[in-house]
Formats: sequence, structure tokens, C-alpha cells
Amino acid sequence: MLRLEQEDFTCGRSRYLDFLKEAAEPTAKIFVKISLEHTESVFWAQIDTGSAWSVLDPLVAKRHGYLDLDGERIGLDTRLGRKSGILARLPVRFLADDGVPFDTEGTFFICPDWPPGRTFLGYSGLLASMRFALDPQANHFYFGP
Amino acid sequence: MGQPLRKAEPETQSYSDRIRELVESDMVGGARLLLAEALEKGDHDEDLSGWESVLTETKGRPNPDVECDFDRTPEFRWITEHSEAYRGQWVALVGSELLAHSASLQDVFSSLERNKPKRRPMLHYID
Repeated sequence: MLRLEQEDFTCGRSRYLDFLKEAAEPTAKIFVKISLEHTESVFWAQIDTGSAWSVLDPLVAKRHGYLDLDGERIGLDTRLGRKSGILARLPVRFLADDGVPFDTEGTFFICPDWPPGRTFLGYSGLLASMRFALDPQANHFYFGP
Repeated sequence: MGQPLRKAEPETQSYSDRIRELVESDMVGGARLLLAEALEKGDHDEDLSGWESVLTETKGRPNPDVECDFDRTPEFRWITEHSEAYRGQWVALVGSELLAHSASLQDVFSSLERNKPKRRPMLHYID
């Protein structure tokens, strides 16, 4: 994987999507592959470095029993208006097409009335504590500790 | 002439409420500092373990025991071509093969549990 001054900089890479036709905003975005609770299912999640917190699709949250978690209750101003929910720490796996997958944890905002199908990976509670890099010519997302 | 010294106002809000205000304003660094101060002082009756959990930065680790994934371009292509017919539904795909679809994610998982796919399925909600 990527190396910097003879040391590993990242451990794995995966191909990302920069466009989902049916997404609410069909403009260039970065969708990477993750799994939650280290299950055998893959979801696309949108990288959002402008957001402090990650946001989990409420139907995925329900499926994993996260809607009943006893997290810290907060209200957040989002582009969909003021939303109430909880913050909770969840395990996330970045799946690798090449190299080694990366297991970490992220703080997710879980809100029952968030629109389904939209999971975001935010900066302060997740991306800031890992390394990541993009190769936009190849649509490669590099990640690691 | 000097200004009379003003007595500092005592902080009336709990640490928890102050941390929440900072978090809701996206001032995560400030929230972490305040939490660290509260934990260091320790002279309060608040349970801050919930804030500790969500504000702590986790160092992840590579996991060589997990099988690599594969290029999902065929799944992406399938979604692009078939999105109209499956709007409002979850689809489970491996390559261009549709394994299950339903408006209920639970139903899709149940179907996958009954017919376990050989490769890891991609789940996607078509908006």
C-alpha cells in the first residue's frame, strides 16, 4: 500500500464511487465501502469531511438494534433541518480490494427520522483518527491507522 | 482609575450540559478539553462515561484475518440501470446478480440468511 519515508502510510485501498445516479444530490461525492458490526454485508457510505459526526442510515441502525442504544442525546442542525438523536460509538470496517481491511470505531449520530439510504462518515468522530488518501484518476480510496 | 474587580460568576451548568452545547455547535475540540477538565477535577457527581465514549479518539487496526472485497463496478452498473424499477427498496447484489430486494431491510437480511451468498453482498437503498 502507500508508503512514506520507508514506512507504511496506509494498509488497504478500495475503489470508490463518485456518483450515484439515484442519490438525492446527483453531484460528485465519494462513496466508500464499509461494513458495520463486522457483518458480511457491504454498504456504501459517503465521505463528509465537512461534518463533525458520522450519520447512520436509520434502517441500518434499526436492523442492528442501535435505535435502542443508550447514547448521549443531542440535537444537530443539518441540511434537512434540526434533528434529534443520539451519539453512539460503533465499530466500522473499511473493506479493502487490495491490501488489508481496517477495523476502527466511529461516533455516529443516530436519528430515527433521518432519510433511509444515507450513511455519512464524518471528520471529528471517525476520519480524523485515521489516515486516508484519494487517487481520483483511479477512484481509489486509501486508508489505514 | 482602575476598574473594580468583578467577581467571577460561578458556573451553574453541569459539565454534561456544557459538553452537549459544544458538541451541538460542532466544537468537538472544545468538548474534548472540557471533558478532560471535568475528569481531571473529578469533584462532581456527574456520570460522564457516555461523553467519554463518544469523544474518545480510537486508533483502529489493520485486520489481516478478513477476506478482501472486490471491485463493485458491476453492482454500481446494475443500480444505475435498474434504479427506476426498485425505487424505495433495498437491494442485495453480488456482481450483477440481484439476490434479494424489499422495502424492508429486515426482509432482505432474512432472505440472505435463508440463501447464504458465496460472496459478500452489497446492500443498497434505492432512493
